Amino acid sequence: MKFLVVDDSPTMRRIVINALKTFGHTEFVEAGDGQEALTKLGGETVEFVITDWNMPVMNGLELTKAIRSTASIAHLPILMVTTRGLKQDIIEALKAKVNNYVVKPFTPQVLKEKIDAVLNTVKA
Amino acid sequence: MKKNLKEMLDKANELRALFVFGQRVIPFLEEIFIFVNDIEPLLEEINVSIAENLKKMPSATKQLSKVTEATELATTEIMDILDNLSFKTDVISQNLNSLRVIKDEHHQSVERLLDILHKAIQSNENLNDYLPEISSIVGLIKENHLEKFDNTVTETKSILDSINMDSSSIMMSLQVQDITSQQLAAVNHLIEAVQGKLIHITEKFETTSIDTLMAQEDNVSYNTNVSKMHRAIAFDPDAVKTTAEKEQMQSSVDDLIKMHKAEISGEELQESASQEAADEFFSGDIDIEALQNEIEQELANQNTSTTDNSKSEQVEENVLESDANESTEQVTNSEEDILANVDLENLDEPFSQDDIDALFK
Repeated sequence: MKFLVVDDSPTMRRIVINALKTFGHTEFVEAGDGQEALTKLGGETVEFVITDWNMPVMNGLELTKAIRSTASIAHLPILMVTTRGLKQDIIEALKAKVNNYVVKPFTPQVLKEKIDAVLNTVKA
Repeated sequence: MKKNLKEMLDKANELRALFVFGQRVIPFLEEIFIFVNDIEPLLEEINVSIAENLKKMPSATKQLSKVTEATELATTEIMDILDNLSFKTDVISQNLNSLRVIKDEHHQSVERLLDILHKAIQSNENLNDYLPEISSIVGLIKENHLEKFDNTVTETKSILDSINMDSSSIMMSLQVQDITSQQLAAVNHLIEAVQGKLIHITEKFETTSIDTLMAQEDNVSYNTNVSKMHRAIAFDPDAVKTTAEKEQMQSSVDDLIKMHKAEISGEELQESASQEAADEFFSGDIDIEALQNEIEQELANQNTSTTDNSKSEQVEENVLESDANESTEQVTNSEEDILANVDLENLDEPFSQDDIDALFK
C-alpha cells in the first residue's frame, strides 16, 4: 500500500513514515503542502493519504476538499494528523470528509489504530 | 468735529488693517485645522496600535514559555529513554559475555566427552564403565549449557525489542520539534506584525499623504497563520496545548466521532430503508448534514444564552454564513434526539482522541 504523507515539517513526515515502516509498510510519497500533494497525486498511484492541517500554500482541509471534489481520487482514504484539537476543528474536518483524525503528538499505537480503522471502513 | 472725524477714519483704517491681517491669517488657520484633522486619526491609530501590540506581548511571552516547557519535557523524556538504553546495552554486553562463557564451558564439556570416548575406544575398554561420567557431561550440556544459552538469547532478544520500542519512542518525542516550531512561528509572526505596524507609523510621519498610507495599510495582512522563517511554517498558535493534554484531547475527539457516527448512522437506517442508504451506512461515510443540523441547534441554544464568549460568537457567524441557504426546518425529531445526547456547547474546547474516535467509528 502506497502512502502519501503530507506535512510542511520534514521532521513530522519522517516520524510518520518511520512509524509506518514499523507497521510493515514500505511505499511512501511525501509532500510539503496541499498543492504539492495534489501534484503528486496526479503522477503517482497512492492508496492512502495522511495529511497535516496547518500548511502553507494549501492547507490539509483544502487538500481534503480538493481530493473529494476530484472524481479520480475522491475515494482515497484520508487521515488528518494535526495539532488542532478543538471541537469546531473536528466538525470542519468531518464536513470536509476526512476518514479519521489524530491529534499531535500521537503514539505509534494511535496512528496504527486509526489507519486500521479507516482501512476497515473503506473495505466494508 | 473735524478732530472726531479724523479719529474715526484712523479707527476705520485700523479695522481695515485688522481685516486684511485676518484675511492673510485665515489660510494658515485653515491649514492648521486640516493638519489637526489629519493628525487626529493618526494619533488615534498609534494609540490603538501600541495598545494592540502591548496586548500581544504577554501572549508571545506565554508561547515562548510553552516552547521552553515542551522542549524541556521532551528532552527529559528522551534522556530517560537514553538512560534506559544505556542500562539495556550494558545488560546485552553482559549477556554476550555470558554466552561466551557458556560457549567455552560447552566446548570444554564436548572436548572432555570426546576425550573419554577416544580414550575408551583406543584402549578397547567397555564404554559402560564410563557411562556415569558421560551421562554427567551430557546432562551438563543439555540442562546447563543449552538452557542457559536459550535463556540468555531470549532475554537479549527481548531487550533488543524493547530498544526498538525505545528508539520509536524517541522518534515520537521528536514531534516536539514540529509543535515548538509552530509556536516559534507564531511568535515570529507576531514580531513581524509589530514591526510592520511600527514601520507603518514611522512612515506616516515622513509623508504628507495620510490617505495613501491608509490605503497601503489595507493591503497589509497579518491574519494568515504562516510565518516565513528558514522556510514558510504554517502554525497553530495553540499547538503546544496538545503536549500537555494530548491523551485527554485524543480521547475526547475519539468519543465525539464515535458517538456522532453511531447515532447518525442509526438515524440513516430509520429514515430510509433503501439499499443506497444501507450501503452508505455500512460504507462508514459520515453524514455531514446531521452534523450541520447539530451545529444549527447549538447556535439556537447559543442565541438564548448570555454567556457566549467572543470565539463562540465567531464560530456562530461562520456557520450561519456558510449555511445561509439551508433551512433550519431540516432538523428532524430524531436528529433532535441525537442532539439531546451530544454536548455541542463550547465549540472552542479541546477534544480528546476518544471523542474523535466516537465520531469516526
